[in-house]
Amino acid sequence: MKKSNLPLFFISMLFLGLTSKAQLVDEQNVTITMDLQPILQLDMSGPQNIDFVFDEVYEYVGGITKYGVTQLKVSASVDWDLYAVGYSSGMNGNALLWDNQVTYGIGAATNASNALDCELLELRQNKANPLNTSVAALFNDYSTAFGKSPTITGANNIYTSIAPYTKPIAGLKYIAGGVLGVDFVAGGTYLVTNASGTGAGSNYWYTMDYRIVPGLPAIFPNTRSNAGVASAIHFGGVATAYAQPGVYTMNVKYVLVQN
Amino acid sequence: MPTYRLRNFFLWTLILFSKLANAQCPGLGAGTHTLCDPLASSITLAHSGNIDFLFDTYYQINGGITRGGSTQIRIKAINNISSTCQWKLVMYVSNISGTATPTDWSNQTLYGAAGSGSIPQLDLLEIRLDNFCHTPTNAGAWQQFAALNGSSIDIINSAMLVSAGSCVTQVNGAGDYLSNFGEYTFTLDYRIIPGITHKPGMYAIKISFCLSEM
Repeated sequence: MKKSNLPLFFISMLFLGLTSKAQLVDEQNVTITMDLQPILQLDMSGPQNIDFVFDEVYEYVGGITKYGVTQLKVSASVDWDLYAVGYSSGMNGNALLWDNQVTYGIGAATNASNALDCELLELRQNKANPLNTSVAALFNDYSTAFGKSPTITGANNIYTSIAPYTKPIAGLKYIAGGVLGVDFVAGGTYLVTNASGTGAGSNYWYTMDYRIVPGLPAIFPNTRSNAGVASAIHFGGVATAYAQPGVYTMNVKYVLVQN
Repeated sequence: MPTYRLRNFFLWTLILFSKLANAQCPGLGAGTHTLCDPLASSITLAHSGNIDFLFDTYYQINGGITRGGSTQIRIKAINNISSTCQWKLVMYVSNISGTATPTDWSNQTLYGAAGSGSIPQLDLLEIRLDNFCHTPTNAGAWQQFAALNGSSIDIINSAMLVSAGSCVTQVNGAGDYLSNFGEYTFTLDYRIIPGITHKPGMYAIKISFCLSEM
């Protein structure tokens, strides 16, 4: 080795000597994994079936209102939106019409129709939608009080769609949140105190009322489309038609979705 | 500098740093470092492998998950001939991925929409360790790493020699878990309380338990 390399050699050997002694260094490792799944938890308390039986004249005229039937309680780890959607199985050839399970009497009478729009069902939520800034929103939510029948605003008619998992477009009703990215309720739960309160007073708990007003004749005068206008398919467009007595069913789905 | 000198300088520098880089545990203290028998001494984990936290219900997100006794550390510290072994035990946190932000967990994947949450930081994990004689630093208390890659928590780290058999804090003399279970075995609990502020996804970190001579 050349003489000029000696200093570098000795310095390096010095470091190597420090690190190459028989020293006790031992190691074990543990890997920690954390799987944070997006949690959207909707608890619905109340009966699975909500029955409206119209067998008195005053029930036809004044309708039947069922208060506080459904409690919707949300716990979510992400920002969320909640909406209700009405539809049927399409028994009457259209999933936006009630399914006609049974027809009473001898059959369809003149002007009687079983084409009842799902939109005739009215909902009311106990508190306003916390945030829905949809441009030109027709109805932010279902928080408007039920109007004296006939009600022509359409503020309480259920949103209907044959694609229940597709979010309502801008301007249509949400219980909480909206279609826009800026419209949502932040993750949280009714179980603990948060900025909006706690329990039933918070933005994570909604109580739903239901109303159906058949009217006399039974033309369901409150029926309005998603856009708030008289439904174009009301009784198939037959102005003189009325509801065929019978048993009808429809599905109300509450959808909790990540914003 | 002539070419051959420059080449030799880089050669020795490379050798030097390759030796230093082998040290996964940067915990060697000052001293002679020949008092413990490196072949007979060891650290073993009774329960090795991954510790998985799966948060798929809200009460878990909000209330957290605790994994009690998920890791048991067993120490053997054996004297070199005519020497008195004195050791320390330190754990280090690493976010594994070189691309992760130094303060954060390594993110393996994100679920769903981006949302408005944040990537969890390294101080989210809580660790509690203890043994029969309560020898560790902060025995029985929940502790967190600082939110910085490579930060550490001392388990046993005393400049003074505390011999085995005294069953007091910071025992760090020669001994082993077979003959002295209460001082040379450490049980670890893990706890994570994520809360709702983080982005859903799969995350990982590594914890290194380093046994070294003082």
